[in-house]
Amino acid sequence: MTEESGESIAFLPASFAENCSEGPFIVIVREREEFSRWLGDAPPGVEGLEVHGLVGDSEAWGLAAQGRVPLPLDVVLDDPRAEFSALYRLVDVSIARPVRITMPARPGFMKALRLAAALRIPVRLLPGQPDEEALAGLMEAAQFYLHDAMVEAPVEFFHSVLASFRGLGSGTLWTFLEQDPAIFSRRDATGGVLQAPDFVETHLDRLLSNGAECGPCVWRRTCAGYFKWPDPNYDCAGVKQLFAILQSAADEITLDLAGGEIPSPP
Amino acid sequence: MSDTPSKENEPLAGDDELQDRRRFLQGMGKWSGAAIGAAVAGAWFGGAPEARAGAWVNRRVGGGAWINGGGGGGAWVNRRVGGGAWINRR
Repeated sequence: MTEESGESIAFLPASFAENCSEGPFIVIVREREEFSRWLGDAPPGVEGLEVHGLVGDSEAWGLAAQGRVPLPLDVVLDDPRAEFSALYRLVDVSIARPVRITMPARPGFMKALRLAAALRIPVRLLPGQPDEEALAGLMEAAQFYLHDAMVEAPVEFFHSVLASFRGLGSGTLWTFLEQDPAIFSRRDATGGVLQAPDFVETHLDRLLSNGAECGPCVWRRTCAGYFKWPDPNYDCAGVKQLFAILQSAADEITLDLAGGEIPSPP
Repeated sequence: MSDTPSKENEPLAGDDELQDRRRFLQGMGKWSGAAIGAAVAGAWFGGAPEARAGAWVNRRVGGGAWINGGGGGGAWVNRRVGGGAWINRR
């Protein structure tokens, strides 16, 4: 671990963030006025803005394409199918400052993913507990991430899982997707934590003590019960295939490098 | 496919070695640039906007690190080390 690796960061609603003087924290903005205020005057300690509901607001993105302080933006899409075409608005913004797109794996998300990839913008794909249709989309997305020449920017969680399967670091889906409250502490409008810091540990312990399929699962180290939340009875058969796709890719890359006599991990 | 879903952390390779691996995999034409970055360096070999101090930095565990906290412009390469933390290699 690096000396800094255990540091946590708070995610604060804009109204509460006004009262904070110590970071690090991310400010969650939902209105153009909030967005403009924090873009223009972010004190030290603000490490970025999480932006909701503004992707269609061209005026907001005109502001974001300017500014002296290139504060990073995580642009959250609630409905990728309806909002994907607005991603073009982020082209100039992504030149001016770091931008990432976060979206749920809901129907239609592949269009948003393909466009984000074409724009070379990183993506955080939130799988939740995918149904059959969403699983099919995630399988397609994994293959797209692994093999399409257009994909140069990371697509989480595929990116970090692939790296960990190659032995380059470790972590769980909770951390890769920034949903482990021990590290990514989301707060309510009064600053109260929304989930206890030991949530993941407690959740997994409960699953194991209740005999969930996590016990013998070979992916438990990486998953840590992610797909058993909120419904602990979710059937993981499909998501296990996703892990298998990424593991196969990691193994194949290792073989490719060995075949080319390129030094590789033992 | 192996039965072991995760390995111990890979020893850190030098820049030349990383670039050799990267170029070799690129030459095969079957992997995306993002996948190559993840697989050879736990990184993103990508163009980046101007670097910025105080960005959404790579000091936390896992995938929280989508932005490199320092360094100059150009390639934006992060490296995972033990415990999964991302650090700036430069």
